[in-house]
Amino acid sequence: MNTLEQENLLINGLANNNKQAIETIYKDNYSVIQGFILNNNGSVDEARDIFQEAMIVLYEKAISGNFELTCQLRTYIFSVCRRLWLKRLQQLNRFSHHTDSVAETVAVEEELEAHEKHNNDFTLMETAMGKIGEPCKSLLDAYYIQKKHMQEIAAQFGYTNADNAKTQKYKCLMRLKKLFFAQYKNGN
Amino acid sequence: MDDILILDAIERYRNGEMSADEVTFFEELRKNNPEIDQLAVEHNFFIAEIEKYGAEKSYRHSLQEVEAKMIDEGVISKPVLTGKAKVAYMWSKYKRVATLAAGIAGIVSVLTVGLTSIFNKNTNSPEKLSREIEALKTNTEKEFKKVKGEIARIDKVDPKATPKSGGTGFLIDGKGYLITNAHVLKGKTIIATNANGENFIAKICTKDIERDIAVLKIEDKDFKPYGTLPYGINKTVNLAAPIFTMGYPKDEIVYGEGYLSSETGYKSDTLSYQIAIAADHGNSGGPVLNKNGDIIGILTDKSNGGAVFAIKSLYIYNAIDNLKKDSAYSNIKLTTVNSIKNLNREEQVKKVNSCVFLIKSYE
Repeated sequence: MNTLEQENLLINGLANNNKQAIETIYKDNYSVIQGFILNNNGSVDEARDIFQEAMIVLYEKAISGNFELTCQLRTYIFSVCRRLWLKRLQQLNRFSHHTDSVAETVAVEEELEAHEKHNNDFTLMETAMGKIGEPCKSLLDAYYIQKKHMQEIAAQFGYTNADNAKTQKYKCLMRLKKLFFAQYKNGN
Repeated sequence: MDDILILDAIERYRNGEMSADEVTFFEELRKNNPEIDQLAVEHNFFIAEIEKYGAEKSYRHSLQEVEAKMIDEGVISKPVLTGKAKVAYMWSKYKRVATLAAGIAGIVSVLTVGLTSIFNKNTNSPEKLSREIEALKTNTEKEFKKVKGEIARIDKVDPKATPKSGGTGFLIDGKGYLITNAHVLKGKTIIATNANGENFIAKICTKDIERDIAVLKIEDKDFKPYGTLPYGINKTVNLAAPIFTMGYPKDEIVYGEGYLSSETGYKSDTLSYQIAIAADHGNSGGPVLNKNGDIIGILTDKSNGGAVFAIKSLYIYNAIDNLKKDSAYSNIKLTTVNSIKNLNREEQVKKVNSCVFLIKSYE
C-alpha cells in the first residue's frame, strides 16, 4: 500500500470516530503547525485551536464519502491550517509578515466555505438542543443519537410505557425542529 | 395528534418497520398529498441533521481526549524560552496590555482605598463552612456501620474516632495532589474518600492559613493515579458567568449551580470571588467550575448574609509554584486541559465526580 492509500485510510478512520487515527494524525502533523503559528504571531493555545478546527474540516471531508486526497496529507493539513490562521489573524487585526512561507500549499477555499456552513449547522443544532431543556434534550439524544430502544428509554425516564415516551419524544422533536428551522431559514 | 401520527409513519417508513401493505399505502399517500410529502422530506432531512450532529459531537469529544493525551505525552508542549529572549518576546507581545493594565491598576487602587475606608465599619466576619461536627458525633458509630467502604475505613481510622473537621477537596494532578481549604484541616490525620466510598490516607504538603488554601497528597498504596483529569484550571471569569460546584455537605456528593456575582470577595477582598450558589457546611474546599467544566475557584466561606465566596484559581497556581520550590514536590504538574468542554452537564459531572473527594481530618 502506498502512502496516499494509507492516508486515505486514516481519513476514513476519522469518519468512524477512530481515536487511533486521530492520534496518528496529531503525532505526525501537530508540531509543524504549532511551529508555523508560533512563528506567525500566535500562541500554543491558538495552535491547538487551529489544529482542532483543521481536524474537523478533515472529518467533514471524511463523512462526505467522496473525498480522496490528491496531495500528501501533511500538505493538505498545512494548507487548511494556514488558511484558517490567516483568517484568524485578519479578524484579530494582527498581522504577520512571514505567512507566505516556502512550504507548498494547495487551494482549500472551497473546503473552508463548506466548513463554515457546516459549523453553522452544528452550532444551530447545539443552540436549539440547549434551548429545549430537560428531559427533552436527553430524550432526543437517547433515541436519535444513542439509538436506544423506546422501551429502554421509557424505563430510564420513568414513563409508564413505551407509547407515552414516544408521544413525548415527538412533542420534543417538534419543538426542536421549530427552533432549528427558525434560525436555519434566517441564517442560511 | 395528527401530526404525531404522520411523523411516526415517516419514521417507521425510514427505519423499515412497516409491513408491505403499509409501505404501499404510505407511498400512495405521499404521492397524492403534497403536504405530507413535503413534511416527509423535511422530517427526513431533520433526522439526518440530528444524527450528523450527534456523530460530530462524539468526534469533537474524541478530539479533546486525544489532545489531552498528546499534552500528557509531550507531543503538544509549550516551547521553552530562556533568558533575555523571553523578556523581549513577552514585552513586545504584551506592551499595550501592560500600559493599559498599569492604568487600570492605578484607578483600582484609588477606588479600593476609598471603598475600604467606607466599608470598614461593618465587622461581621464570615462563618467558615466546615462541617458541623456535633451532628456527626452522635451518629458516627451507627453511620460507620452503614457506609460503603466500611472495611477500608476500619483499616485506616479507628472507627470510634470523630473527625475534628471536614470538607471537600479536588485533584489538580492525577498523581494524587488535592486542593482544599486550610480551615478544613484542623487535625493531623487526613482521610480522603472518593465517590465510591474508598478511603485514602493523605498528608498535608502545605497549608496557607492566611489565604485558606492547602495542598494534600494522597499517599496510600490503594490509590491508583489518574492518567489525565477531565478539567483544566482557568483564571479568566466574567460577571454573571454560570458556574457549578460539587462537594460533600453530607456523605454523598452534592451538585449545585449558580453564577458569579462579584469579582471580589468579602468586603472587596481581591483574593476571592463572590458567587451565588447553594452551599452548605462541608462544601468548603470544593471546586467551582465554569460552564466548560474548568476550575475557576475554591469554594471557601459564607458570610452571615448568605453570600458565598470562592478563592480565585490564580492562588492555586501560586500555591503550587511555591510548593514546587521544594524539590520533593518539583514533579507536580497542574492539570491544564479540559476534555469535557463539549459534553452536556450530566456527562461533565460524571467525569468530575471521580476527582472530588470528601476530606476528614482526625486528631
